[in-house]
This record gives sequence, C-alpha cells and structure tokens, in this order.
Amino acid sequence: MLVKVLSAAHCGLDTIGIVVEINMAARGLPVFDIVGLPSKAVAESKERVRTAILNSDIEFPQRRIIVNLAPADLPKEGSCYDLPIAVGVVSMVMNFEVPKDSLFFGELSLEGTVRHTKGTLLAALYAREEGIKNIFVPQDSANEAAVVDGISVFGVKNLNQLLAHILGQVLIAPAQYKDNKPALNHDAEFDMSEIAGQTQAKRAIEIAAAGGHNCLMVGSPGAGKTMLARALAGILPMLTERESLEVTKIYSVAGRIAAGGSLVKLRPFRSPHHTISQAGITGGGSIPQPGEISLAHRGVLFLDEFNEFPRSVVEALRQPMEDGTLTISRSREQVSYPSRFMLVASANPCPCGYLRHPSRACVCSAREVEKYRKRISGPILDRIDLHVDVPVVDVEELARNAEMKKLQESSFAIRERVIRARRLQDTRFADDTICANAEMKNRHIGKYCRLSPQAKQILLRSSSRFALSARSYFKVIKVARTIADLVSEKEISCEHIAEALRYRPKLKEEL
Amino acid sequence: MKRSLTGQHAEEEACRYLIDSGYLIVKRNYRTRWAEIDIVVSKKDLFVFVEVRSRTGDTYGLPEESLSHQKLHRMARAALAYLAYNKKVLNYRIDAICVVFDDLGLVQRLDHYENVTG
Repeated sequence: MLVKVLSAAHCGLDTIGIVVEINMAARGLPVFDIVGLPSKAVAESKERVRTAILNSDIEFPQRRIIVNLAPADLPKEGSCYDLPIAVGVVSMVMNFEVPKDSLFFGELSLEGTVRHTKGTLLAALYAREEGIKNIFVPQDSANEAAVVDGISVFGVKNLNQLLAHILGQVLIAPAQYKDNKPALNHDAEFDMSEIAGQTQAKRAIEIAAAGGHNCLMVGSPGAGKTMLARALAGILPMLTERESLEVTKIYSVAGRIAAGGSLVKLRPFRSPHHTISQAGITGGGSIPQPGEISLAHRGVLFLDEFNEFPRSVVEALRQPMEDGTLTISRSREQVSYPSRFMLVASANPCPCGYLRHPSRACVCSAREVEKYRKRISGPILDRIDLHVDVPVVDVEELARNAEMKKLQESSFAIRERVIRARRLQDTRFADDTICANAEMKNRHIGKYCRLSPQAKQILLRSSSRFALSARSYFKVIKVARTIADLVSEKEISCEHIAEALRYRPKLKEEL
Repeated sequence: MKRSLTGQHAEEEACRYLIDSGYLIVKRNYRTRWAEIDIVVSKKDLFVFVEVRSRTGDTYGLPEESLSHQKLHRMARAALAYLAYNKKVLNYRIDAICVVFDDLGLVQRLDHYENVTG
C-alpha cells in the first residue's frame, strides 16, 4: 500500500516541494525506516511519529513501513516532515485518502501535539506558487503562514484534531492573518533628546537613517558613540510591506519568529560582539544558515569597537555591502541570502582612545596609532558614506542639557523627518528593485540625482582636490540626495553637496 | 513462567510450527564461539536459519522490536559461520519467528517472517 503526502523543504530561501512517499508492505519484518538523505533530525522523526501516533490513541501498524522523501538526492533537514509522515501512516491505518491538494508541514511532539516549526512562511509561499489550495501547519505557526493570501491555512493543534478535520467530523477554521500588536516604536534604550550636544553626529545619524547610508563614528571613550547608535534604532521607520516580507522570510528560515508571531515590522538592529566568527557574520554551516549581515537585512548592523573585529570578519563585509546579497557555497549546497544592511560602526581614534582629546593626553606612539588605523582597510572605509567625529562632551554642558531637555529634539520628531524622506524614496524607486538612496546604482544616480550647476561645480572641484575615488564620488551624490530628501527638495543644491562632502574622511587626519 | 523458560518454550512452539509447515529440523541451538543459531531447518535444498524471539504480554514491547539492525547483522554472520563448517549448503535464508504468550503461558500469536536480512 502506497500513500503520497505533499510537503516542502527549504534550501536557503528557495523552497522545494517534497513528496513524502510511504509504503506499507504486506509481508516482512516490521520496520519503520526513512530514506531519502535524512539528516539526524529527520531520521529521529520516526521515533516522534511513532510515539505521537500511539499517544493519540491510534494503533501504529506492525508492518514493514518505508518512508521515502523525494527527491532523494536533496539532503533533508529539520523536523517539518513529522506531520506529513504521521498523516500518511495514519491514513493507512484508518483507511482514508490523504487530500491531494494539501501540503503538510510541522513537527510533532511525543504527545501528538504539533509544535511551532521554522520555515512555515516559505512553505506557505511555495503552496501558493504551486497552486496547492490548503496548507496544514502548526497552530503556533499559523499566523506566520496566514500572511500569504490565496490559500487556506489551517493551524493544527494536534494529530487528533487534524484527523477529525480530514475525516470531516470537526472542521478546523482557516487561520486569518492577525496583525500583531502594532509595535510603533523600537523600545529604544535612548531617546535622541537624552543625548547632550553632538549636533553634528546626530545630524549624521539622521541622514544615515533617512537614506540607509553606512556610517562610522570615531571618538574617545565615553563620548556617546554607542548611545548614538542605540538611539538610531529609535528613529528608523517601520519596514515597508515589501521589505517586511523579505526580512520575515530570513527570520522564518533562521527560526527566529516566536510562536504566534508573524511579519517582522521593525527594522532589525543587530549588534554582534567583536568576538564573532566569520561564519557568524556572513552565515555558514554545512547547511548554510543566515549570519548577522542577513539578519540585519533592511536594518542596522552595528559594530561597536570596529577596530577590534578580526580583519577577516570586516573584510567579509565588502562584497555584501556592495551587492546586497551573499552567496554561501558549501560542499553540499549553495545558498544566497539577502544582506542589504546599513553598517553603523564605532571606533576609537587610537588604542588609548584619547587622541585629539581636548584635555587628556594620548599615550600612543605614532606607530601604534597607525597600526590601529590599519586594522580597517581602505576599501572598507571607502564603502562608508558618512564619517563622523564624536567629540567629547563637556560635563558642564551635560548638566546644562539636563535642565534644557525640552529644547533637544526627541527621537519622535526626528523619525517624522526620516519617514518623510523615506516616503519620497519609496515613490521614487517604486518601479525599481531598490528601496533606499544608499542602494542606488550609477544608472539610478543618472536618473534621479539632478544637481544644480553650482553643486556640480563644487563636486568636480573637490573630487579632484580630495582625490575622491569613483565610488566616493557617487557616494557623495547619494548622501546629498538624502540630505535634499530630508528637506523635500527635488534638485540637489550646492549646500547639500557641501554637507555631504563634510562626511568624507578627512584626508590627513583620519587615514 | 520464569523468563529463561519463556525462550525455551517459544523455541518448542516454533519447532512445532516449522514441522507443521513442512520443514525438517536439522539442528537446534547451534553454537560456536562467535555465533549462535536457534533453529536450523531445511526444505528440499533450501536451508533456513531461524531466530526465535518471544515475549509474555506486551508490557516490555513486541518481540519484533527486539530485532535490531545489529542483531540482524549478527544473524547473517552466524549463518556464514554455519556455512563455513557445512559446505554442502548451497541455498539459504534467514527467518525470524516471533512468539507472544499470554499470562497463562499460552501462545497468543506466532508470526513467521521470511528473509529478514534480505
């Protein structure tokens, strides 16, 4: 007796249909075997399936049962095949037909309940693509799958409930997408109004947030670099619908969506520690998992103490920063994850941290400073749009600030401006594949960045004077575009270009 | 029933079943240093090596479940050992007979699985 049940596997962010074939032989020693390159978690699935079926008060057939996961040459991982296997086995015991237009996806617990499973969103997207009408997923993951319209999503609590549904006794109501409590604001640790002074750095952060630009903050210890970066989380706009789906796919694959959770709406803010490995930042493993740069997709990757990161980790950022995707090749498979993140880095000017400090002397030798600087290569610095100095704040000013707190702009007000600038970009790039100014390619720049004659002149003159690389030249235009967007101006004027030029690294001092 | 007796009792039942099915008992409890075979039977030129597994009740699982891959592997090796000493065997098969007794020591079911290592 042979039964076929549809399921899905994901390979990176691509989904592949899996046919779970279950054969029950009439003769032969009772065994229950799974073939078709199962990984450890899949091979152990037979123990879960058997126990779950028994604990659901269903007889487990003492027959020769062979489960094949087709296509057989694709390595299978994860626990999502428990449900299809169990449905197939039970269908033979109880003699019913497994619905052909349905996809089953989910992990079983020993007691027969269906557990939250990662990758549910991708399975649902696959079902819609392939025209499969119904998809049965764990109840805890149903909200994630319900994002996909055009298919019926059934959240299954346990095996018995599913059987009652298939046999037509008690039907499960299709899950409706429930918007999670609208988290309007990142629970940012710091509000912009709490940060004293730092007008220039705040301005740079605002531009970075508005255009998705990379940003490097250099300053002495305690100047407030980390605080600024954390406050940045609070001025970022929500993800657009298109972005949200992209990010949710990555988080679904990484198993980072909580039970009952759904679309990721907030921009990711990732701040890995500098002991991170190369595989940790780019993603990896024999079955490649997304790394920090992919988890920061459409959001912020904050690297505190930039110079302390291993060189290999920092250099690994180069290609994804340009391309916005990263392909991980391993012997068994090759996957691509999107990684369009905004890099925010902070660093000290020298090992002791007090170079150019107004009142404290730096104890580093020139050689030490040079060595420290060299840890970050030129190509990486060239890819950073905004270079900002974060000067030390006077303690007196700090005290004064506490009194005049109301005069400082709050994160809320800044976010409003950022959102307005982003909205301009959304309409501008509606027909393109990109979302923010920082992502513009040269052809977009030609199309969308009209410079006033004086602006053009300033740019040309300074590019020869400061020996701007071709990339830097375009970066300046992109930043100027964002500055113009912040004041809703169509044409880039010379002030915008002049301000953008200010954020290039100062030649003699910085490098 | 004592545990050691259950096994012996099951082998008796298995032998009776095999004779009824037209097999000829060649040897019982074949043992070498490396291998043991519960029953060796033959039918025409076919030799069959039989492993008998038994249980009383179902508290400790089914006899079928006690046949691990490892045990099947050992059975195949035992068969080869027998062949090494008995050159006239040309055609052979490895079977399993699973016997379940009830509380009174009566046979509840007896299942014969042919060619379990195949």
